[in-house]
Amino acid sequence: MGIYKITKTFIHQTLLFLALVSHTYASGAPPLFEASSPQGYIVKIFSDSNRIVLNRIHEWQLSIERDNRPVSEANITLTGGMPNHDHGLPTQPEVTSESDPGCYIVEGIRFHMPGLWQIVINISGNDFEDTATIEFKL
Amino acid sequence: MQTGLKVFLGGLVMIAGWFAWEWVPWQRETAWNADELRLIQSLSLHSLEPIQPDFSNSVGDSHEAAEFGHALFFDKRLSANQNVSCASCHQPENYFTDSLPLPMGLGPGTRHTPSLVGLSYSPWYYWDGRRDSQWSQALAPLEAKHEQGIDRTSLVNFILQDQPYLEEYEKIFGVISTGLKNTDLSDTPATPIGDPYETETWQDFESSVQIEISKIFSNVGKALAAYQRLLHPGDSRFDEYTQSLQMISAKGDPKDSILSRQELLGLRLFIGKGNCVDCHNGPLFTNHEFHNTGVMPLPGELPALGRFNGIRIAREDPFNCLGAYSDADPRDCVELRFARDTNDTVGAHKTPTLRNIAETSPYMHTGQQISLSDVIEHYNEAPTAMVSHNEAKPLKLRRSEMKQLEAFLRTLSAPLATDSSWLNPPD
Repeated sequence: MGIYKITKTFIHQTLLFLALVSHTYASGAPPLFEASSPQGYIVKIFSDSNRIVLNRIHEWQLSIERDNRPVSEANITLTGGMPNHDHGLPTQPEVTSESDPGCYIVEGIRFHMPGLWQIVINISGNDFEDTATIEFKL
Repeated sequence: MQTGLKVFLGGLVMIAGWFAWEWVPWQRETAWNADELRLIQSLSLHSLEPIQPDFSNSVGDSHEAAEFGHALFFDKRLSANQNVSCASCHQPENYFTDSLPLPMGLGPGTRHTPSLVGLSYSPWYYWDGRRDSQWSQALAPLEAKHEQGIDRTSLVNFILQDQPYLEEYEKIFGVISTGLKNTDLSDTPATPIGDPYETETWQDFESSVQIEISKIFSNVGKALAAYQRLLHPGDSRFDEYTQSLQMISAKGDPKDSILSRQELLGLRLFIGKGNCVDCHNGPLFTNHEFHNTGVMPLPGELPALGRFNGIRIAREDPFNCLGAYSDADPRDCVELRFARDTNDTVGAHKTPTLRNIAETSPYMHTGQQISLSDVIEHYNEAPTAMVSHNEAKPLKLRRSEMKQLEAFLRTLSAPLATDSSWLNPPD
C-alpha cells in the first residue's frame, strides 16, 4: 500500500470518526431546559448554544413527548416574560416547523434583561390541551 | 433646660441626621462577588462581539460604499435648501448628536437626536423603532419636510447630474439604466410620501421608473449605513477598569483602582440597587429594546404611543427587511417577523446607549431631561406613566447614592474608536 493510499485511508477514517463523534455530541447534548406538564407531556428545549446570550435573537428546538413517544402535529404557542418586572417577552416567538416527529423549531426567541424569566408552553391537539412552564435566571 | 431650647436642639439633631443619611456615603467598599464580576465584564467594550452583517444591505461592510456614504453624510446639497446634511444634527464633535432637546433641520423636529455611535448593533431605529435597518432609517430624514426635505426624485436627479457621485454610485451599485438617465427629472419633485403635488407627480411616472428611482434612493441609504457602521465607541475609563480587574484581582480596592471610590460605589449601584443594568446591559449599555419608564410628554403634548406605533410603521415600510429593496432572504428578517406588537408596548421607547452619556445631553425621546442628575432623579421617583404603565419602580436612592451613580456614568466617556478621517467631511 503506497503512502498516498495510507494517507487517504487515514483521512477517511478520521473524518468518519469526527462525523460520528459530532453526531453523538449533537444528538446527546443535554437540553437547555426541561419541564413536564400536568398531563405528563415532557418538553425539552435545545439550542445551538449551550447558554443564552442576552439581546441575541435565536431559535430553539423543542422536543415534546409523552409516555416516551413523540407528540407530533401539535399546536404549540410560547408566551412568558419576567414575573418580577411585570412585562412579557420582547418578541413574539413562533413554532415555524416540525423538523422531526415531536421536534419543533421555534424562531424569534430573544431575552433582553438579566433576571428571572418564565416561559409558558401551551401544547394542544385534537383532543387535548396542556401547559408546561419553565423558569430560569439569566 | 427650657422647652423651646429642647425643641430647637431636637430639630437640629433631626436635620443633621437627615443630612447625614442623604449625603454621607455610608457604604463600605467590598470585593466583587463572582456574579458581579461576570456582570461587570459583560459591560466591558472588550466583550463586544464583531458587528453582524446586515443581510438587508449587501454593501453594508463595503469600504467603497462607506466612502460614498461618508461624502453623502456631510453633503448639504442633499436638502431642499442645500444647507442641511445628516451631519447638521448628527455632529461628529458631539458624538453624532446635536446638544439640543429637539433637532432643527429645515424646521423643528419632534424627537431628540440620538447618537449614532455604536448604533449599528441595534436591530431597530428611531425612538419607537419605526425602521428595522440603518439604511431604511437613513432614508426618512432625507425626505422629511422638517429635516432635509429633498424628495427622492430630486435626490436621484442630483446623483445623476453630479459626475463624481454618479461614477461612485455606479462602481458600487451598477450602472443606472440609460432610460432613466435620459429622463428629464430636473424640477420634478416627486415622491409617494410627499405633499399633494409631489405625490401626483410621482403617480405620473411609470411603475418601472418609480421602482428604479426608489431603488437608487434605497442604495443611497445603504451607502449612508455603510458609513455609519464605522462609528464605534472607544475604550473608556470603565473599560480600562474591567481590564485591570482581569489582570490584578477582584479586590476593587479604590486605592489602586482606575476608578475612584465614588465611581466604584456608583458601579455597584448600577449593577445592583439602581436596576440600571436591567435595560442598560451589554457592552453598549443598551438592550436595544423598548420600555415605558414614565417619561412625561412635553407640556401641552399628548403622550406618544411609542413602540406600539413604531412596529406598525416598520411593518408597513416599503424599505423594511422583507420589502422589495431589501437584499435579505426573508428567513433572515427574524427581528421584523417576530417583533412584539402587544398593548404593553404603548408608551415604550428605545433604551439608548449610555456610552458617552455625559457628553450627549439632553436626554429622553424629546430631550425632556437636561442633565444626568435630572435623569437619575426621574428613575429614583419612577412617576406613574400617563399611558400604559411605568416598568420602573422607585429606587429610593439617597442623595449621596445618586451622586455616586452619576459619577459612574461619567466614566463611560471616551474618544471614538473610529479613525478621525471619518469624523470630518471628506477632502
